[in-house]
Amino acid sequence: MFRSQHLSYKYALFAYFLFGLQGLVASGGAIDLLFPDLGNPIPFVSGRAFHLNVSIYWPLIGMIGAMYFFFCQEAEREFYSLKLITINFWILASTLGLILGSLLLGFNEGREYLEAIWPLKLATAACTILLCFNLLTTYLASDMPRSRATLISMVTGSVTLIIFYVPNIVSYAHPTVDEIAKFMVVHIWEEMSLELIGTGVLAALLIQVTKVKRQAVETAIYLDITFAILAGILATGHHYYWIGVPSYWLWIGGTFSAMQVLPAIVLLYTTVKSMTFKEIFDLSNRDKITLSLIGSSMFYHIFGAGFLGFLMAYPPLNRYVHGTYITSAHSHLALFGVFGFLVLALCFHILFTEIILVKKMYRWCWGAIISLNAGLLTMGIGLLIAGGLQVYFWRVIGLGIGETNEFIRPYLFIRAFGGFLYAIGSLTLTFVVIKSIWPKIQVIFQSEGRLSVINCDDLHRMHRLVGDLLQEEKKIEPLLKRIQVLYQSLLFFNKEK
Amino acid sequence: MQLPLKIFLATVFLSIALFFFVIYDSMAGNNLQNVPSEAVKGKMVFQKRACIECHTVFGNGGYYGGDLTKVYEKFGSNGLRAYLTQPPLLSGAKKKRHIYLSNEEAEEITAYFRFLQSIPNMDWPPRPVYDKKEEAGVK
Repeated sequence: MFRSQHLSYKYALFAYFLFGLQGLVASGGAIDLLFPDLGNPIPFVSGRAFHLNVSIYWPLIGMIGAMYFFFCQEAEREFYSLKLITINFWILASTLGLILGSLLLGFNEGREYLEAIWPLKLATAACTILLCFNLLTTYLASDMPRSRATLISMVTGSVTLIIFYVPNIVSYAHPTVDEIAKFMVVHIWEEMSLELIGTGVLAALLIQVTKVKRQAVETAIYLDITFAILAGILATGHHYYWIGVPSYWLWIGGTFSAMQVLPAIVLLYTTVKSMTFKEIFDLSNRDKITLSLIGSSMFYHIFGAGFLGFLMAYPPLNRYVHGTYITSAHSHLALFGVFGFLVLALCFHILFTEIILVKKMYRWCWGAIISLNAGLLTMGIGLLIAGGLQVYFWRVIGLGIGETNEFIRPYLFIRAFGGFLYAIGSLTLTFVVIKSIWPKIQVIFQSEGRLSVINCDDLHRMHRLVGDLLQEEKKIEPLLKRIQVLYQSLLFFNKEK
Repeated sequence: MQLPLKIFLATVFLSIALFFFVIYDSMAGNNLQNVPSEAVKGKMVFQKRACIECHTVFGNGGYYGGDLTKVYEKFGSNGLRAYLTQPPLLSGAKKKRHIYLSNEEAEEITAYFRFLQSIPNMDWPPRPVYDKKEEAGVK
């Protein structure tokens, strides 16, 4: 267990806190749209800007935490600067705090997803630079092979975070240029940079949890990240179709978007291939929760992001469905469905490495996961129908906005109901996590502190070995030896603290 | 260096280079017209009032208030000014009105909408299918 890993706990905890907040604020917004006269304490404009910004920052914070946790494990050494991990956290957390506070007070730069005022965007860019510096210096100092796929994908993903964010610190006089720059964050960050980082982290996690051989997944990871780069960057073209750029973007966007489903399929294939059903049954409760969250992420990766995105990016179809709630359905399924679930899985795994989650709490976790999925699917279906009706009323028979809004109202109710289910799930999961972490909260935020409990993975392995021992008398001797080794490691682990 | 890493790095550099080159090509020459100063001011009003949270421009933004890319064509200067300076009730509301703009702001934002309409964006949003048929029938 590396010191850097201890320092990454606070990222994971903060990501969970923001995730809980997100469900609550978003539900308020959905109700405000349905009942505009209700007198919501937060104006709709501020609430939506808040919702969009949290939706980008919480997966980012969780993913950065996951990188600090898994990168040192993969590089098999501590980070170059441990202090920088903590400094990076406090800069990032206070930047986000200021962004959310300023948005609620009405400071809004008026660019969707990039509403924060420019000094705060500058601070965000500084955070990504700090992260890259720490990753690169650690990568260069590591004794591991330079070509280790997990390291390469995390480093490349992080460097591209900076490249594509910097053009967005300022806004431009020409609306077309504004849009060109905006999608470097809204699209490339999500569908390329975070995809690379996510693949690296996920592969590291699978190697650890399922004990799959590194060589077996190495080529698959390279295939996956090469596709993610190739398709991810130029597929940004599907956001450029109608913003006033030359028509060749229809070809670029259409062609590369069609390829975007490939990395998802490779990732799914690698994951499924790396484990058997028996292994899944043998996993600890914590790993089962982690895997079910990863499974949810894969499901939305294939259907919500992959196939729905594939259909929508086909230019002749996009001409009609673009600018409706269909896009909103796609972004909920792709952003939360894919990255939200993945970050939840990673942060859950990280937070319960040393802290043991009480058995009865697992039931609440399962409930929360079901509620999140049910909520997200209900929201997605409600929005898809509402968007389909918008296409029909606006683009086929030519009705006005007011009349169309009246017709789609029932489906926005379904969306709000889905949002309510989602919020129940998100609040439950956040409550379980924060309640379980609370007794150790001080230690988590201390740079020098240590958690004084045994490693959950070791404890689970010990449970299984004792179980096996009781059942199979013949194999008693080798099993005893393994237990002896494990006991030594557990004792050493405790002594270290 | 191993082959997969070489291929990966080559893909990274080529994709990023190609992407930025195509963007450069899209903006170079006369592809983007100059924005009139009044329209720039209007864009600032549009951003300051965060109109994008409810409306879309080029189809991107909030999906409740409708798209504003070609709104100038539909309402004209007078219609837009009247709408923004004497805002009507929001759809589905009995009390809440559309945001209010001063005369000066309304002028500027109208100039912005006039400019937006002039951007050649392959005629998006599409005209309603039945409108087109009726038009063809009249001709």
